[in-house]
Amino acid sequence: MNRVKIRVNFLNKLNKFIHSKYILLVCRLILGSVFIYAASGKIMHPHAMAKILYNYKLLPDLFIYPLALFLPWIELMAGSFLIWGIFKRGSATILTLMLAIFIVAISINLIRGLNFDCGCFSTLSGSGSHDPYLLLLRDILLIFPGIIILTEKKRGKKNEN
Amino acid sequence: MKKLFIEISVILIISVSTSLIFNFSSGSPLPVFKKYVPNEDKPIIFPEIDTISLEVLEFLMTKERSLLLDARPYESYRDGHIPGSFSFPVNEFEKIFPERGSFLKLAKTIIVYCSSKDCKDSADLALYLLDKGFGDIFIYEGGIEEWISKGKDIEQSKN
Repeated sequence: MNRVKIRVNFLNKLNKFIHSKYILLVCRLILGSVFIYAASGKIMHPHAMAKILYNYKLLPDLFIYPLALFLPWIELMAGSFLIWGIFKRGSATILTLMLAIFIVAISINLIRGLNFDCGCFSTLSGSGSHDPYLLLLRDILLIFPGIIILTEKKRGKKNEN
Repeated sequence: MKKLFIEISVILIISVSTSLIFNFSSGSPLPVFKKYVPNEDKPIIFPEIDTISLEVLEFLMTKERSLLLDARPYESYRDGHIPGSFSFPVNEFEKIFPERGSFLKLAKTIIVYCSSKDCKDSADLALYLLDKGFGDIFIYEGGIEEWISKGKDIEQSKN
């Protein structure tokens, strides 16, 4: 019984710690700044971004140009809003969903054995890591700050009860 | 839930409208509402802009209509550059391109370089040129550092 209590106490403390305002701020800063940084190169080189999207071999050709144009701006806006603390949940939802889509896309191409450039942080070839497993790990790790931000309110309410 | 939906919609609307304004006011806009047509002349492989070695650079430089561009700031070019190369500082691209764009069109192959393997200027310049519609662009990856280390001559500019 004591063990159960200790575990529950530990989990409650961990939950409180994870959702403390400083941790949430750090999560917002990490997720926001990563996406702002990632967006800047893609915005400057939309044609290269279109090529990268085409090389994923997952999208119909009709969607390549619109996505090459819109995606980086969505990353930039959502990242900026998250850092400023405006539309926090909306921004975190968009960025977390994007990360989930990137994870699925990279996984599919890994299974297919396709050699591709993720274009995650830059449209420049040779920039950053090209090891798809590392890219996957990076996206999986980045999804955690998003989940912490998204679960903030719910847990807060639970604690009140 | 409704609030979340509104937040997401607002972010998407702002992003899409800003991107469209930015795109259509840029020099080489994306044809957003057209189907993507890959460049059939060249196989789409990565790295998307090929990097070349010193040997390939020397071979290409013997070919007619090959143009070698130094992407570093002009001061670095002045202090020492690969003979036959032209200064095209990437940090002044928007200023220089209107003056020298037509000159670049005369070239069949464009090779760009900067200081070393670790510099970004050549890759940036290559992508800017790619965005302006230039096709055969190569990056001499070793840059001036490798050129000098191999005992090759360099040229200096007086101005």
